[in-house]
Amino acid sequence: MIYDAITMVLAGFAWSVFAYFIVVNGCQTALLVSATTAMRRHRQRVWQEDRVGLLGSAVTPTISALAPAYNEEANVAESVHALMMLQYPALEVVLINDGSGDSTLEVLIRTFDLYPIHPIFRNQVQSQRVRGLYRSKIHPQLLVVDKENGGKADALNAGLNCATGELVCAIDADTLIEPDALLRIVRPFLTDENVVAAGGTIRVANGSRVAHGRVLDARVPRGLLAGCQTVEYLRSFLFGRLGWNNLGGNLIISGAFGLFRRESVMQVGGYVHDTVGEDMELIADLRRQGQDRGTASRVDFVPDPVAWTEVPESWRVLGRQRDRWHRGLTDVLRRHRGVLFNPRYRALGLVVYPYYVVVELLGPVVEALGLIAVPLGLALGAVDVTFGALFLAVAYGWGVLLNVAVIALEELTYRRYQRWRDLLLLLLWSVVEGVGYRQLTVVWRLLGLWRYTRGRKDWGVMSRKGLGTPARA
Amino acid sequence: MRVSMHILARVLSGDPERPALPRLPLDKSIEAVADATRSIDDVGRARLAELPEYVELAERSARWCTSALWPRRLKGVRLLLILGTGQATVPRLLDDPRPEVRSSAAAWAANHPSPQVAARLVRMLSDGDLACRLTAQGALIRMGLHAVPAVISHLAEAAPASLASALLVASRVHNSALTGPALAHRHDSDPAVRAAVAQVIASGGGPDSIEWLEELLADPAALVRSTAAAGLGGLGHWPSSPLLADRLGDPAWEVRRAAGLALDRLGGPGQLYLQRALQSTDRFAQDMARQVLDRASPGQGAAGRVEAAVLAIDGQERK
Repeated sequence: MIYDAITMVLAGFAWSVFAYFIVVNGCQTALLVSATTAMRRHRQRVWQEDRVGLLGSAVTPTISALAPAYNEEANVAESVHALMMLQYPALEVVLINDGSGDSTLEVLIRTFDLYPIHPIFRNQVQSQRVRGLYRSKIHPQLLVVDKENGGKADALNAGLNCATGELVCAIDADTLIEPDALLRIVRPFLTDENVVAAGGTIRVANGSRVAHGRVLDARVPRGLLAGCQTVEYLRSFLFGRLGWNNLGGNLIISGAFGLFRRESVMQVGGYVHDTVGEDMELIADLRRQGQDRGTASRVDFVPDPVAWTEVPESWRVLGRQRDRWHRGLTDVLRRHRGVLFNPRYRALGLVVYPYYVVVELLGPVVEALGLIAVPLGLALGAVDVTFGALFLAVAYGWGVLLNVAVIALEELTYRRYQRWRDLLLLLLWSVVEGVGYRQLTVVWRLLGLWRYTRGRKDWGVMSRKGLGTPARA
Repeated sequence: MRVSMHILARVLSGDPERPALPRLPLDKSIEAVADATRSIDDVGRARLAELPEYVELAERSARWCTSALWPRRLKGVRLLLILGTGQATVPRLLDDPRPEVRSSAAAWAANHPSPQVAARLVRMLSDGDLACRLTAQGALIRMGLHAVPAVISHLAEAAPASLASALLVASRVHNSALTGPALAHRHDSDPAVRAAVAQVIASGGGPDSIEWLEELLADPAALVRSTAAAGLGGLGHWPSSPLLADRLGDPAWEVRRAAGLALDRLGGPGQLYLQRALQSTDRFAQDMARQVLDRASPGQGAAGRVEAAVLAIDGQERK
């Protein structure tokens, strides 16, 4: 009797999880189709576009690149050199030394011949005390803000206060931005008044040849962890975010590389301090408050500006990162729960937000339950082998197909990986990613959910190997 | 592709003995010619124009410009922009129904100025599409003197559309002939227009400009007052120092900042007024003067004074 009840519940649950996977994969397929259309249109519009002409234009908005740095003495000089080399006619680089305990500031002073200045600025958004401001004698467009430690969000707020650009570009100091990325990412702001933020593509730099802040030769990493993340990043940016451009707009722009309208960011109070998902929180705020006020609120993703980042190659560090990402996601969705199914927010409330709740937030819970229920059901005979095979096809096979489709999209468009060997490696990682790696991310995200309910708001130590040549300082 | 680039380089260097270009797929051919033409002068362009491949591409682009499909028209105009030709085809595309095509045609127009094209670009300043408006602005500014008659005639209209944009162009062209037509709009109801008028006056210069800028210092809109203050500072007219010093106590932070920086730019007399403002009973004027005077020049140390000044401006907005 009890056995029958258990098998019935297991069978029912297994079918529910099966249905869930169909919905999730269906949504992702819709995103892929949307991304393909958006990519085609985007490429038509930017074909042989006169970006050199834009460099000489008198009407391009000024961009302030905000780069927070904390204990970055080894790489900071090279990062700043790379930022100064970005192609843009009106660029100001604001490096924020967030109370580093090492010699980050001394390296900057020595390398860029900084002198203290006293510009006039308003404390419009909350940040820790600014200890000093410096300008470079070599590069007058370089401003260094030395402040007390307050975290990344706080550093960005200090940068926002001191910046003078109409647009601000949030950049991680250890991110490598391609030289023409700003000329490309500014495009939505030149074509649509309603745009408040735009994000670019983040790619994995592990395994690539890097020198002087530039990726000289893009390679697919050989390590399992970095390889799986390469496929994950491709999927996430190339169709995850691009697809949303046509389906209601994005809710996430990577904190490593995003461009914002400064006035709009100031209006929503800048970055929020008490969350680990400050980048997503800012986007949610910009969209929500923009729609509340009836002002600009569109968030666009642009596929061709590229920033390269080093992803964790240690299980422990990756686990911490995913745990933090999921805590951030949970926190932001909780803060903006009023948006859910609220017709006032149109696509944001009726499509985007529900997707993030059902697929991104609850995904690991359902996936974990499915991973337990289906094998158990098979063992107890509650579900038959045909169902097991179908489940495998939907949960794993469809995912692999989507991965392969994204790689095909990449090959047909940007072809960053030029060698056949890299392409084969990428295909290998796309197959491997669904077995083991994906299940581990489920565990880490569940851990994040659990820790969020326990009120944990720490970032955890994020050690990396480092990219490229040593700083010239 | 590499061979083609090498041959094109030989063409550009004037080498008389050059082999024919190998046959390339269309996209590669476009890429090779585009790369070769991006940064060459008229002589180099004339040499390239002798190549049959160049002529073929130019003809193909002109055909694309008449296509019913907008992506093809866009391709055509972009290619003609690169090739530096298309005088017979592209001006028509300034009226294309697709904004992408109009905008690219406007970018082409910057390199091919004519009175008709300039007049059309001025009309484009009120286009419904942002990209078209910005490209038209940029193109008119790049045209410089060629754009002046069209801008003047636009400003002389009874109720010109996109007045602020036209005035912005006028301010960047730096031509005193534009000051008169701009002044006609100094009482416009839109503060952005009045601020743009102030910019035109400041960019044009001349003795009368001072009087108008001083008048605009008393404008009800903060944007206009701050633009006028910055203009006076830029013109270096030190007798305006007392008026600028009055603005140090302005209710709007932007105006106080612009007045302070303008006084700083005026040199000795401005500095004197800033020193005097340090004794002012108006806390806002005092704070701004202190911040401007505390600003260190290269080699001086002022980092230690940042804290006090930053704290002083916290929450000091009067509005």
